[in-house]
Amino acid sequence: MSELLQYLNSLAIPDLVLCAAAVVILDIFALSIIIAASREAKLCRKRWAKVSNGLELRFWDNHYPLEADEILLGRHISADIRLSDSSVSRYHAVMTVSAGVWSITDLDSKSGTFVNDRRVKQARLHPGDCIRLGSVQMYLAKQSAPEPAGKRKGGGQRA
Amino acid sequence: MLKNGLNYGGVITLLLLTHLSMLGIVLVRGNYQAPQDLLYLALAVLGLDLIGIIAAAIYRQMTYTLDIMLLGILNMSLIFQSCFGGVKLDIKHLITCVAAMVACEIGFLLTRNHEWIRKQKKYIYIIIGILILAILTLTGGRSMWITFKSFSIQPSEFIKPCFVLICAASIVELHKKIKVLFFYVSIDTLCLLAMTVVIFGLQWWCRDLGSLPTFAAIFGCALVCRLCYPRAKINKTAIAAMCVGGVLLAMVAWMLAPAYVQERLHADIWADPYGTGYQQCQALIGVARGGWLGVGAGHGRLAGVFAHESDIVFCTICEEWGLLYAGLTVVMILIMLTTVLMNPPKSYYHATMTAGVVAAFVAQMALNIFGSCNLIPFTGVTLPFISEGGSSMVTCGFLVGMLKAGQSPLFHHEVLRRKQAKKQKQGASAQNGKVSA
Repeated sequence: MSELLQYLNSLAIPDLVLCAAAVVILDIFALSIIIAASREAKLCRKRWAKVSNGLELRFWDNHYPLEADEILLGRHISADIRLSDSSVSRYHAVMTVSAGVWSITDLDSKSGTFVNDRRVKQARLHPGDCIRLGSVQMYLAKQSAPEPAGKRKGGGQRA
Repeated sequence: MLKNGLNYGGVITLLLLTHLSMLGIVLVRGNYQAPQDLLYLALAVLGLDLIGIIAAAIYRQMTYTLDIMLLGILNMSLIFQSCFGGVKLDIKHLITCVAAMVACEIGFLLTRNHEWIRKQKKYIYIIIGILILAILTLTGGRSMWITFKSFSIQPSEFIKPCFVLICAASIVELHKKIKVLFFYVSIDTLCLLAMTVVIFGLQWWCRDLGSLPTFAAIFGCALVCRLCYPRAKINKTAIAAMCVGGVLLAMVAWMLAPAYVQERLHADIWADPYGTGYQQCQALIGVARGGWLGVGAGHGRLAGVFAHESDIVFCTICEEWGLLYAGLTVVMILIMLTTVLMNPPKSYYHATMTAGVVAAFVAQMALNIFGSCNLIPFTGVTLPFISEGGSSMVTCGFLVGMLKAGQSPLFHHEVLRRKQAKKQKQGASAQNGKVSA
């Protein structure tokens, strides 16, 4: 060990070179972590596509990708999908997913929740189903094309 | 080796190279009495790397970058702490690093199923209540520390993850409101507000102003999430109103603050460099001495100053390792927090939890770094992952576990599948038992 130290001292490596090398390695490590994280994000998106079945809600020209396992629909400002219509309750219904199957649960709304024109308290949803909250009608459909995160139709705004 | 199908060979190699390069700097520029001291440190660092990678491989996860980053930062911290004032393995810090890794796994396993953890909120309130009672009864006076002989813990640190969890629980119950007279009120919101007032009051009473902004940051994040929901339209008016309210509240608190707080807020450290301003003056002199590349591991003078390993640890690293390396260490922590944002959680609970954890880390880092550099009042909080202290390290580990849970959540159908598999297994074993009998 002491011989190794003597040898290293005899090399007289300048501090600048040593520190620069350590800093460069740390930088490369940080960069590799960012690359690995982006690969993981892709993997998680694939997994989510399996879980959520790659569905979206369509309402006129608006497309709402279903990006969480619990989505609150209503008129309130805090609802995930906000429907500014007086026939929709503040907290109207909630959509949940399990193993690629979406369900909708009515939250005791005044005007009711309808799936294919049938009033429901809780119902399983399938692609192509027509969902009506009050007088607002929406369709559940397969996502047309993968959109980059944060860029949706309507400038990234929910409603 | 890791179970998500991606190849991590390059990242793990670079992790080891990073630590080896740091050990190389210590070997050439460090201040050590015997080569064995450095050998023990190197064995501890590489051993911790190995244990960390094996531990990460045990559970199936979707992401492993947080584990690798945590391992990288903890080992950097171990090298820093072992070199202050002379190279010698800091066994106490090594133990706290291992404890942080264990806490990380516990945090991950407890919070990965958001439906389960949100049902446990009443127990979380009870835990916070017990911790507050412990502070009020066991600390002995207006202090945050419980001391048993030479061992001391800070229970207020453990309140942080619990507070993040109750903030997250309050958002998912948003639509569950009851009508009281003319108003719709959420019981969860009222409980959260009451608990926030109690925690803030306790911090004020115990004169622990360092943690107060951290709790405020967590609460602020929860409030923003509550108003906006993670993926919903940002309500700019509400946020602006909240900011104005926050500024007004801060101004009132500033004006009504007791004398000892006013003293800290208006302190001129250079007016009394050998008295009240000694610690910070020495810290700034240390940063200047270190320059870009530092004076060498173990050659710093700050090792003789009180709290060099905790409150002013950033300046101690600047002195011994240089501003460049100290800055990069902070960047590494920030990258760890940023990787979480690259893969947004898929549930409101995890999204709010992640936002709260990131807010807590950022607030604490800002308080420590800017406070020790005299840019804001010095509050004496720890630098996450780097400062010495068991309570702080374990809490940081647990919080990273919560971040991991947001990245690798357990969805409802997976929980059901596991339960079914368990039942089948139990049924099969019961049948085998009958056959053998």
